[in-house]
Amino acid sequence: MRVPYSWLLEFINPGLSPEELADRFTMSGVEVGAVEPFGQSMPGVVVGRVVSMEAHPGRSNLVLVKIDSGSEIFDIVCGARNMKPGDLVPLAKPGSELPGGRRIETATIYGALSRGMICSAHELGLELGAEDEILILNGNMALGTEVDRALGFDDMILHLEITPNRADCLSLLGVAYETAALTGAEVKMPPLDLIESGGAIDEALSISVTAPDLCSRYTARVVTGVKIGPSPLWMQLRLLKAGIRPISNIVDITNYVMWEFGQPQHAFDLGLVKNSRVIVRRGENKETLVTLDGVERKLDREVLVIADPEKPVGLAGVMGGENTEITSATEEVLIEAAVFDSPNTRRTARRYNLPSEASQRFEKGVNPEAVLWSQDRAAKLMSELAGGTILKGVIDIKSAHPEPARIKVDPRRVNRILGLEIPAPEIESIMDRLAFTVEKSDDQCLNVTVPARRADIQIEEDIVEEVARLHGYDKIPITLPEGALLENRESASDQVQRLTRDVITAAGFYECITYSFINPAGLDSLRLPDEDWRRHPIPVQNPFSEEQAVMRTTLLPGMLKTVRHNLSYRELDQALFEVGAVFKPLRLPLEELPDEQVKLAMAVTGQAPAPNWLTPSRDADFFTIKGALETLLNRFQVAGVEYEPRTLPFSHPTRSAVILADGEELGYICQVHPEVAAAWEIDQAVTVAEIDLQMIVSKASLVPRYVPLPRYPAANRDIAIVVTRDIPAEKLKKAIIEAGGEITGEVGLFDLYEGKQIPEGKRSLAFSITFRREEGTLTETEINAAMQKIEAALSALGAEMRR
Amino acid sequence: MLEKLKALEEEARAAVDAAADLEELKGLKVRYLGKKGELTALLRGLGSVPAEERPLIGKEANDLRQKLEQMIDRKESRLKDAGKSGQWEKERIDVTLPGLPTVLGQRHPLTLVLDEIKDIFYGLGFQVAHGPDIETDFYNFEALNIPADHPARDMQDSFYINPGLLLRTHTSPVQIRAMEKRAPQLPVRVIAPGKVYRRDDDATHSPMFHQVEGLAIDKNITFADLKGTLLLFAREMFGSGQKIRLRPSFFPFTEPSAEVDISCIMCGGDGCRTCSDTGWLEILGSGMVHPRVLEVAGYNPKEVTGYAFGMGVERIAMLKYGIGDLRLFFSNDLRFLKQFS
Ligand SMILES: [Zn+2]
Repeated sequence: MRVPYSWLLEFINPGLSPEELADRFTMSGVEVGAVEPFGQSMPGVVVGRVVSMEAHPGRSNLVLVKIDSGSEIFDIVCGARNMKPGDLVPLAKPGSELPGGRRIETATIYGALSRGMICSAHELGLELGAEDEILILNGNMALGTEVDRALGFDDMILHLEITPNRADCLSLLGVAYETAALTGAEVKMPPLDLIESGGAIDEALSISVTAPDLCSRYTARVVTGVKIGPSPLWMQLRLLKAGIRPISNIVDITNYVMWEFGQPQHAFDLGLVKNSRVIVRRGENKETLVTLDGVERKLDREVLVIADPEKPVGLAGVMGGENTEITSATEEVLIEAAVFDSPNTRRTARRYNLPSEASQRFEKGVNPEAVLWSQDRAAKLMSELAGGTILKGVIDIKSAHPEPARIKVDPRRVNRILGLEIPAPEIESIMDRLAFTVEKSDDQCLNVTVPARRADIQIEEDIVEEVARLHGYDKIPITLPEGALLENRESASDQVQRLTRDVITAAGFYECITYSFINPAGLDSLRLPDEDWRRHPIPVQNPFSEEQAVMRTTLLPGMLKTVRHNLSYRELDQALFEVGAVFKPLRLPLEELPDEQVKLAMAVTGQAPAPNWLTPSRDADFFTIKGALETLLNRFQVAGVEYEPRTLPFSHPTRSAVILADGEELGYICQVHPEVAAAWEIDQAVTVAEIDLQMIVSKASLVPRYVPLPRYPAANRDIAIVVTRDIPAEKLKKAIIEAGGEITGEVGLFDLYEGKQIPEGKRSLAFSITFRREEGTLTETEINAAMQKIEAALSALGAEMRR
Repeated sequence: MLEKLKALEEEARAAVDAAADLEELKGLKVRYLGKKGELTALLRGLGSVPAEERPLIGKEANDLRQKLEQMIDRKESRLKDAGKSGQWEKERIDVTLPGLPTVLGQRHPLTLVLDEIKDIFYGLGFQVAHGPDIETDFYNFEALNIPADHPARDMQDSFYINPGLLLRTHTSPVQIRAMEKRAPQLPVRVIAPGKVYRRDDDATHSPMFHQVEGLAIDKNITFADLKGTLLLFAREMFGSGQKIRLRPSFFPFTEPSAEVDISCIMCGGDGCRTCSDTGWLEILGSGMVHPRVLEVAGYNPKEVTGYAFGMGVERIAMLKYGIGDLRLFFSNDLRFLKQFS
């Protein structure tokens, strides 16, 4: 809402500068986004009078004009001729500068000297009249006055950013009441006195409302014998300051009054309304209406229309119809001021993409008190400025009678909520400044009656806010809540997420956050089969694009997209992870909330760590991720972890494993199938993992468990074997532990070799075995006996000992 | 006698300094410290010193012996090192080479900020609560006093799954869930961090972003308590000199409501581009929980009061780290992510 300060002064004198007032507004809840002058200053452009006009001797389309600036006569060559001697016009003297930086100098035009320029409104930055028409400055302006001052370019405009509850501030009157609440100054109503010199309105017009649910009130006045033309300059300038384009006197008046009272109005050419009969009804299917913007709109039962017995003539509250538009031929004007249903108006405005100052006001709610004020005000202005005759009476059809809200306010409760101690009289005085009526009740409470313009005030808490904001939020003290303590340790699942990030970042991975919605094509490229639930994500009904069309069922697409993105910046070595939810529908279409499962996803590509001069570089692979995951699972003391080779739909056929904990699937690690990677435009090996963090929560013990230190020394033995490739290392390790018996402690693989000196299809593995007994030192004989059993067990698996 | 000791020290120091090899040094050791050395010889003359001066002279002589021994030892190791100079040279390293890279990744900047916010509120006695990203219309709107036909419920502003389910547009529904879980017990003190979704995508909006909701309900929670809590938060987050400013505002689920500004962290309140010369930066919305919301969640608004606030995590991260472009957070560009190490 643009509030021209000079216009506001007609309603109230706050005794403050525009900037001071803006500051008070902002700090009391009506934010002022900017305070800026209406126009640029234009030194050297002054009010001049046309003294004479003569034809240019050489050019028939030019005139030679003499302009009196009050102190000097200027000869000017001009292309426009809409002025006449005696008219006041804007004279840009040589050396002056117009908005947009255009400099005016003395020039010779087809042999005639031209000292300066006579300006059109557009040349002064005003959207008024035709572009090639000189602006005629009517009214009593002194010759030589700077035009920027004469036109009020220095008037300050306050740009109010109004919250949805403060519809009252969408009018100058409402802004004036808010100003009064802040300053105590008095509000003045614009003059509403009018002379109804025509016949009775009932004889000229009849109205019926058949959809009272969508139109709780419809009022009309009729003004006859109007002469259509431009509205006076002062009104045009005010509308421009408010951000509204002047059109004609009748239309301008409806807009002008809307700015004053917040009540949108529409003016119909009554002569074009069939039988002078107006029906407010729902639209019919197949009906159409060409609105003022020239677009044909299809109507139906969802929209409210203003109609005559034959046809719709307007979209209620949104835009009038072309068929009853005010034109230069209009003589009889029907002024409509109504209260239309807010949600319906909003839907209609949205549907036809016709948001307007009017529809915005109906959406937020208009002041029922101002409906008839606005009728009187508009009729008065039409009779004064367009020479009309006002018919006697107003048609007013109401189905709802909004009652002013009456609220019981307990000053003790007000103070209790705010943490303040404002005495009751001060609360009363705040109510008084707001023009709310207060009656004391016998139980120390106040009965407050709220005027209709403040429909947002309905309950005691609303009054609490009024008191707080007018007393000043800055005067509210600073305290901290008292009260019982709560157990507020981080939950196990939050701890698991925090520790996961600790461990995985310490392993060299960078955290990503990708969108929860993905492109379903990504799931196709992962080759997930139809029976896999991840192939059936929850669709978003109204996504921006296919890229964000479904809720992710796996973090993998986000990871691969991120890998590709970074490869495009030549970041060849990447280690990434994300912790986030995937969405598993219990059934589709979705009827209840889905299962949101928190997953950890990881991805590596390129070398890890990044190549450096000191350590040989190595391709990041399955074991890079497995190492980090082992550290993580060890941190959480997850027991019974196994890595079972299994080919996944999107995995490299032989470089893929599912991770099991006590037989339950925690997730997977795999190299992505080269063709799947290629589908993501990734042309280097990429390995990924995804594990279920909720399952980890259920299996984790977050507190480390102490085990007594060994009291007797341990003994170590190494064993090296050659065995066929198809026997997994884990199987050999288990065989060692089992055969070695209870004295066998840790078994670690410290060497793995394939190649020269090892037969084809075989590999050499070397394990280090720790023997220990809790009570007593081990003897050489015991250890040798255990080693023999181990060798026998390994031989049984086809292993040869290497010595 | 003292002068003699002094002179001996000077002489020995010069001789040791000048010694060219270990052989010569050995000779000097014998000459000064040996059984027949000069120091011993000097001390033989102690008898001629008056009795009362003898302890002092004895101590001085002893000190000198230690000094000379150390001097000779140090010279000896220097001479030994010099003897192996070829080997040292072979072992020389280029100390300007880069160090062995420590492999260390980093949390996403939003996680860093979220963790920081959580830690601050843990310290203030708040619990952390979570709610689903896909939320019902009831929790996201209705329970928060946003009735059907309210502009905030426009299809165009939210991502819907179906007419009754949508991607939550704020973390406020967790308020309701947290209260329902606890009602009628008191107090309630929770924060709810999480992802939220709105149908906006341009330079200053992302269709997904993060919020942290805060809620405190008890018998006597006041607007002043809200102010105190937020001031403390602002100081913990942005520094102890922070000031805050509350401005009246409007949210359907709070009454009274307030926008909260902190003093501009770029200019300290003098006015700059970041704060549009106001000296203030808006960082969160807040207010006293609306009585209808309390009622829906199972509390009697005549008996209890509460405050609630909500902040955008991206906004705080942008201010804290001086990040100018919101879209960087979800680009996951490593050149960006690596800056938070
Ligand atoms: Zn600043």
